[in-house]
Amino acid sequence: MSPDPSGLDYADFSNPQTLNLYAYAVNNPLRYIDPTGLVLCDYGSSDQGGEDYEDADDNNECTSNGGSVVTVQQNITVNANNGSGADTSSSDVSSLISNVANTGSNFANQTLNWLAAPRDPGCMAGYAAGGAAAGAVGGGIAGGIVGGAGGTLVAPGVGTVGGGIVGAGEGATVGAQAGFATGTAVGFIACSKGSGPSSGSTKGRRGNKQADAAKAVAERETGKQMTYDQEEIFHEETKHVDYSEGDVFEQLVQIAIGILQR
Amino acid sequence: MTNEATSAMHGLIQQPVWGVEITIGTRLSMEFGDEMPREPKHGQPHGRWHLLLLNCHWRIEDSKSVLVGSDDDDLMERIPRLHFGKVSKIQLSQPTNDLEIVFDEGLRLVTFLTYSLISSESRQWYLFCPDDVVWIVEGGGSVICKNRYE
Repeated sequence: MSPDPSGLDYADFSNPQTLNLYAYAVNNPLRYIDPTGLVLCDYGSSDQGGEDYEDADDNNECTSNGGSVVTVQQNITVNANNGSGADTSSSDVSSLISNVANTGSNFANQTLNWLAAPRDPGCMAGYAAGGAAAGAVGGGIAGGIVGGAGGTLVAPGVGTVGGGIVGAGEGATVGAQAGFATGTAVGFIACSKGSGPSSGSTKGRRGNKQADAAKAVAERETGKQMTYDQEEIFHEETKHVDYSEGDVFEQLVQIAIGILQR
Repeated sequence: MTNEATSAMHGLIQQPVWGVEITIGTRLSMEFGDEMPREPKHGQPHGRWHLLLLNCHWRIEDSKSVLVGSDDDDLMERIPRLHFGKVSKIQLSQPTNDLEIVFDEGLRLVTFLTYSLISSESRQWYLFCPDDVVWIVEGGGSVICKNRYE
């Protein structure tokens, strides 16, 4: 077995199988054929009139029989059929540059879409509040130590206590602000629609993760830990989630909060 | 602890199975024995035993084929079509404490541990028992016993 002779020149980042140099026809032989090792011909499913592997020996035959040559390898196909192999003509180079540019553009668009996507408010609030609380505790302890040390230098005893108290208060405030900002930033990543537990799909193991995440958010927001009895009830009530209505993750969080507050 | 869990589960033998359904995701809920009345705040009635498969993989099969697997797309439609009857055998496989339940109508339910370490997401399954005890298998196959109200 040898790797694809074209290397990664025609890799398409939107299709990870094209990165696998040992896969035949992007690991989908029911749909594509690759007679020369350099062409990827798309025939769709067999019941759409695609031709047999042994007949697809040139580019025209591929397209005239209902198939379509996958774009990024078209130039290679033509050259291979002329017996000259892959060349580096200006049209090929410009095509390659165009493909790379398109890939970059697609990536940029996907990134912009992700940045602009709405975030689940409940999820964001949970992360922000958690960050603020953690920051306040950490800042308070650090501030208390620093303040106490400073107070000791000025007036051991009273100064130590006073400095510690003042330092703890200041530290908690600063820590809470920093923690809020950090929590919000983490939440921005974790709470994006379609890429985190707040996504609408609850099928398969993703649904399990959503339920676990919703339980964790509810416990954090209420400051209560679910008992096993409550967890049993939670699972009963997840059966009543309305998948056609709004944000499923938010519904799960509300169910969990309702159970914890009974 | 595994021996104690196995002993506790022997009470399930010959118990009728009902209320088999998916709660969310791949989570399978299964009731055993008589329906027990509960206070409304404690949710819907359950059987004397209630099995809840959480984050483990699982499979239901008969002697000829796999009927449903936890990664199937249409679990909610396929599970209600199955008829389990009564429990004829139950055991825990070592060292993972995977659960195997054989039913008298020819079906078999098996679970598969999916986490090597204990974490908040590693809970594999819960078995709620009549005495308010809950048997829990977590990541790594560790089995613990808790009161349902803790």
